[in-house]
Amino acid sequence: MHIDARELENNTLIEGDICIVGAGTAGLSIALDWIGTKHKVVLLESGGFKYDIQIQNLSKGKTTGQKYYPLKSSRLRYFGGTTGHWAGMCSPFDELDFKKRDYVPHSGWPITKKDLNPYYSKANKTLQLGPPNYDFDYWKKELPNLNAFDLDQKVVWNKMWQYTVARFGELYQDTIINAKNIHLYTYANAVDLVATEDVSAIKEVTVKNHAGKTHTVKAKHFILACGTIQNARMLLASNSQAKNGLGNDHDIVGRYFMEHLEIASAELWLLKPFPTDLYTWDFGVTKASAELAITESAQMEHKILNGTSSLLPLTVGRNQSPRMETWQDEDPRKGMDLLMEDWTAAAEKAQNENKGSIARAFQLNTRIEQAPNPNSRVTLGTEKDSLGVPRANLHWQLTTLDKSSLRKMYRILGQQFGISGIGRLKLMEYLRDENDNSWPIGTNGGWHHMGTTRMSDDPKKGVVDANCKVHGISNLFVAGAACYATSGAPNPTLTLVALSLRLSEFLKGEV
Amino acid sequence: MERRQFIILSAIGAAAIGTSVWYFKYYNSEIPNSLDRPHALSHIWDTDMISAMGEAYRKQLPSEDNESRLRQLLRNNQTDQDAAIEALKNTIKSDFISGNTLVIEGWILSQAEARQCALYSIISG
Repeated sequence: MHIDARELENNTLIEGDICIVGAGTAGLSIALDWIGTKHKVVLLESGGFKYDIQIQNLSKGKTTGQKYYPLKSSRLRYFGGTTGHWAGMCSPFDELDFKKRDYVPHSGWPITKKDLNPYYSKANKTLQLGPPNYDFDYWKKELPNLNAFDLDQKVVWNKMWQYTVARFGELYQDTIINAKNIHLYTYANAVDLVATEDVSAIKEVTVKNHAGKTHTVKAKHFILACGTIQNARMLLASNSQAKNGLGNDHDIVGRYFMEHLEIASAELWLLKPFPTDLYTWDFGVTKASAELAITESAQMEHKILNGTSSLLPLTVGRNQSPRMETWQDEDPRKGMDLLMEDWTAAAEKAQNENKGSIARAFQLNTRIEQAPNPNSRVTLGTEKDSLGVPRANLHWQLTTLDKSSLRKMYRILGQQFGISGIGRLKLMEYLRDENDNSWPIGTNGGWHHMGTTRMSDDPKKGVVDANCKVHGISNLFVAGAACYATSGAPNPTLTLVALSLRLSEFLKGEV
Repeated sequence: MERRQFIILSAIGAAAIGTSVWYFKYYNSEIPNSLDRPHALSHIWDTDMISAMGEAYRKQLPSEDNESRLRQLLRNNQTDQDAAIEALKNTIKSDFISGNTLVIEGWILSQAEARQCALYSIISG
């Protein structure tokens, strides 16, 4: 069922069993899971079914620290959320990602990979991926020409990815609208979470829109699924009853913001021809491919973060501009256009440069977790948006462990390619000096926002518990990558859907 | 954002990633075997590059900026030239295994192959 909240009478009371705030990847994954149950689900969406500038402006905010994308253009604020333009790359977290590592401060989740495994299978379906199998040996039998580099598997392994073109908006709009127990309210921006007098539970959510309407939503359970930055903003801004915001007795909300560092790091020059389709990806065509990953034991030995390395023809990579430079427009549509223009131009230039040994050389592009850092954080700004909510500010801050991990990762790969006789590695300039902790202009994020309501059993160390429930508030939950205690190597979407589905199942036992 | 844009990207991917064709087109297996020619690196560098890297090595390790010293190190007590060249292949692999590597102009090289470059740069200079 769909209701446009702008069309409702002012001060309408909306009631349900559960209220999901946000109809993006996490929120829709949960809503879909409740279709056909006897429970009434209220699903609140800030925007409508299409891009709306006035709504998108609500995500504006300032950034400081390490250069970042404009907050407004780093997420899509309408039904389906950022799946509206994502690339669809999916791979599960590794077991290591959930463990406490002595050399990674603040690492360790209160759950293990095993706890998520059943939900990964389910998430694969929600995301329209292939079989929930990410083993190289499995895919080598399934697809032709997946030849792997002969590297020491005790040190380097092939981390498999699957790809989807699922855009949740198009894919699930009819399903949600036609579901009798799902009550989707578009143009229903949550602006305040109202708690009980003792702030031990959420009583209601206040929603507003640009038609000047204010409504109230009451439910037994509330799930914040607005995205990592907006979830933190919502909790911090709901500060009329708790001075520091809800769930923030220990000043954790908004802290530990993490991204994936996506950055050109080295060149791999192959000595001999090596035909393979294993390490390349063609949007909409490739079902599965691999990136080079460092094994858990090698990571522990070298005390480095978890990351992977992907291959791009060097002539293309050298002609591409850093995404952090290209994607600086406040309008995400323009950002995407500029990015595509840059990539198209780079591919055209590359065609004329593929002569000699460079034709079998690759740029190695890293995707690596960011070490949890309390000073990398989302706070409230002084400026308010058009609905009266303080805007979010982001201070993105990296650490020396991030840099040293990157450097060591490529020293390891350089060594392994040398041993194997496959090729030689050339480090990018910023990785050559052991004492250089600076970051180059091309330090990109993956547009992956994680960690602002991190998960921990200890309320002093995390915002949510192992079931994604906000500590100290009995009926408030957070869905999505905001709950990540560490960011893992792969893109966050598959794991955030799995985690949301786990939360969904937990809630079914509660309602 | 727009599906059409990803279709464009897809086409770029197809054009740019057809690597196997490139491999075969540009691969040259005719590399001379000698003490002063790093065999593996000769597949990816031309002689000017080998020479430049050799010069950089000699600057980095002035104690080895000497032809006879480099020959002695590269021969590693082998009297026979062919045997020395053969042994060098193993030394290069051993260097990578043991971490006896160095970074020259960003390249992660075995010390033995870096010495070969250095020797080449002296001879060709």
